[in-house]
Amino acid sequence: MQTKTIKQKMRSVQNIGKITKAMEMISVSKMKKSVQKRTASQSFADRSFELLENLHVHKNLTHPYLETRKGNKILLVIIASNKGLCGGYNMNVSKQVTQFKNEHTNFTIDAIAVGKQSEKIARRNDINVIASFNELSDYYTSGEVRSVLKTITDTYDNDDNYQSVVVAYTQFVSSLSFDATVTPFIPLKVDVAQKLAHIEADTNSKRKFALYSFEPDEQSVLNAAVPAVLMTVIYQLLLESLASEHSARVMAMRNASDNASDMYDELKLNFNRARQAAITQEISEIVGGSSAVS
Amino acid sequence: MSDKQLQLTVATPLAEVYKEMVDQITVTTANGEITILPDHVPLVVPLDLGQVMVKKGNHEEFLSIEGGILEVRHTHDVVILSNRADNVSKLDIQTAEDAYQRAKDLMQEKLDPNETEYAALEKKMAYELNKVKIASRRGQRR
Repeated sequence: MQTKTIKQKMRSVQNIGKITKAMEMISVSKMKKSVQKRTASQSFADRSFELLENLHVHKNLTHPYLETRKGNKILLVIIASNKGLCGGYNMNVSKQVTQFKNEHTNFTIDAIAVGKQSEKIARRNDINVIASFNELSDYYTSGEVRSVLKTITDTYDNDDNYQSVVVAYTQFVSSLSFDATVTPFIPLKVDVAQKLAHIEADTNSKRKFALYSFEPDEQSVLNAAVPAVLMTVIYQLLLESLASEHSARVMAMRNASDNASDMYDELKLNFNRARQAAITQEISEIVGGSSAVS
Repeated sequence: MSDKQLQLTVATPLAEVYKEMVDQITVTTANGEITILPDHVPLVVPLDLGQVMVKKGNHEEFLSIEGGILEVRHTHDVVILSNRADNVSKLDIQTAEDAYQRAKDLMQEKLDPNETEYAALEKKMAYELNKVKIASRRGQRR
């Protein structure tokens, strides 16, 4: 029976639609939560950056993580998802990694992977993975972020050949758009020129900035401030990627649900046609039979 | 008290814990307690695990912080950046002690000091104990 197989197909398509719809809704709530977390940490990030700028500009202090280093190696942190089914999310990160690698052919690139897919990305691009984190919890606890950061800084500290640390992540623009990018992480870029221009314009604040006093001394304050800034930066990057991942999944699941409902409609049409054909055939058989008898 | 006030912001990576206009702030630094009043000289100082006492008129509020950095700006802005902070003004001793006990139990389950989690738990326990201390000290004041 043809109608029976169509009916079976309809049922399975309907079920798939239900599942993708549910996944979409879960991802919507997860996306909202990660965006909210990112916003919550924004204040801390802004303020620690301001502090660092103030320190850097006015006292001309230096710190290992603010200095540019010479070397032939780059440490690349790749942030991607643990799970699939999120459209082009991981593919876009992968493209950026490939591009970065092609632009830096005279450097040796090592990778730290966050998320199972990152490992695959690194392998696909023929990059050596020195550490990977794929058992992190849903929204990253501070302990987890700290251990990621520690792995990065330890690797950077223990090998002078590392020229810099960069992060491949996905910037969250809105729930409909996100960009995969590669951004420098260490050495920290404090926009001195811009800050100085800002102070020149406001001589009054320049005078006041000069009055900054430090306890116990400038260097130890800076030593405390730099890790805090690094921590917030990596936390923000992780959360941005997370928000992007979920919104990518929302979009992928919405498309899947739409496709499922289209497919269902088409199958229903086919089913009705097949049923009608069967009825017509039956009637014509009866009519044919009776006319043959009479 | 002058009509000048300080804008205090206490921020952690997880959230902005406190943001209000206050008259006076007392914090614990590595070298002892200091009190910030309006028109204080711009200052940057690392903080220890301890309490932040905030005065608004005759009203006092207490915050618990796990170290961090205090920055006094020339614009009457005071910023405290910390890994962990809570407003404990409304916290009673019992709740604080329960939280401390939980942290302690958790730590005892993981007795291996080589585990990475251990250090984090130890910190958490010290922080919860700090909250208990602040809550009980406040109880005596009243």
